[in-house]
Amino acid sequence: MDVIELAKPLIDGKFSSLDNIERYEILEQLIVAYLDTNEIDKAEKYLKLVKDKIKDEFSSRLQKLYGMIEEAKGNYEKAIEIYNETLKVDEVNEAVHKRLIAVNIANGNRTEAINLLNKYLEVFVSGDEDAWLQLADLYLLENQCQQAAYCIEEVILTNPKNHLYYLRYADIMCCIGRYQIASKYYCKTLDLCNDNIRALYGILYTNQYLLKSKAEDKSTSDETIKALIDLAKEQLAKLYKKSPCEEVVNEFLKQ
Amino acid sequence: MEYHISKEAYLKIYAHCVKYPVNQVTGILLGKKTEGSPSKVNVITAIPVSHESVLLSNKLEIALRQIDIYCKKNTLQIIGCYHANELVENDEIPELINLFAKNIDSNLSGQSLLLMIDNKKLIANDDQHIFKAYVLQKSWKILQTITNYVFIVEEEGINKSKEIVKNGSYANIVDFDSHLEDISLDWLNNDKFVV
Repeated sequence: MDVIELAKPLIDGKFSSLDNIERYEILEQLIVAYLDTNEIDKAEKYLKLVKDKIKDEFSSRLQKLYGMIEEAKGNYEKAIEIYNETLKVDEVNEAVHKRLIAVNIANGNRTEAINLLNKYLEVFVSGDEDAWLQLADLYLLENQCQQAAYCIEEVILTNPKNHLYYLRYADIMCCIGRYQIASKYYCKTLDLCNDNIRALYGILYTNQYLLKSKAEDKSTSDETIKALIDLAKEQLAKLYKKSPCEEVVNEFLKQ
Repeated sequence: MEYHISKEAYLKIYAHCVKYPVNQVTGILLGKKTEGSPSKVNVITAIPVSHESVLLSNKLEIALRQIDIYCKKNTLQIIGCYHANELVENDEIPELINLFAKNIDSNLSGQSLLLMIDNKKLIANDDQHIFKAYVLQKSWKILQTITNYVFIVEEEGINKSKEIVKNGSYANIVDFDSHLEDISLDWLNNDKFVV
């Protein structure tokens, strides 16, 4: 919405006075913003400006916008066709590869999206964190937690200081019942971000579970487990002091 | 058997869906179940839980335990849940929601409600409510197809839903996910979300 409000008067009123490169960048953003707000006719109207400029020359960037318009209209097959055609000419265009993956996700072709993403990560930058995270999400939807965990390991290697990745890894471990590892990763999250509520709840949850489980399923002593539970409870109680949910949470912590 | 959705519940669910248009959203229905003829299930309010992946279920369990406490304090019952899928075309009940809703049903000893959001109706924005209502009769059955089952959504809720989109007040709704980011947000009462 903001993009439209800011970009529209620029394009409408001062188009010719803008810098030659800059104006098309703004125009592109405006078109994408219209697609986001589902005003496809307006997006098409502005796209015509670009088309007039580059005439019959081939441009992957323009093709991408055409594809996105088809996506917005719900013609996923047509969009896939456009992207595939574009990739034949411009094989290494990252943005188009990503659109192709996105349209497959939107279309519900999860297996195809997973294939494409794997290929993308193999061929292009393997340090693309967003792509790994997206792949992890897709695996989770397919109930393939191990593969999802692998993706998160990759992003942790790329960016070991981001506490959210450890948190995600812990959540997945929790999901497949590996509470011991989950607890460790929640602790690491807390280490990097010491008032992280999710990590505190995670430590509480996993250790309460570990306390009840058999000795061979855990590698830490009951004292450590109890200490962790107490730590999490204490921290949560402290952080919730001013929260409107304090009463409920205090009762929750007593359970 | 009569199911009644209050204005407050409808608007909270509606706002939750509109606030996160590209995510799947999940929440809990609270209300009261009364026996009699006809038996009634009143959905009085809704508690938004998640707009991220619900697959990671420890979060869901913590949320539910807190909702339980909230219910006892406010003499309400967990009546069911609602869920909107991420993709517009997808109107299936995801496996996890199926298990989750069945669990709620057995806790309530039957007659719980599962509201799947019909994303197409959400987009169409006409005068109909946005639900596909299911009840558990061995499997999930669409409520309206069962004889003697009535499903009513308070008219005023549907009328007001357009208003909260126009004036932007839908953005004030908060769920458990946003609460975990900022615990000063009251996801249980949603006091800031005034209609």
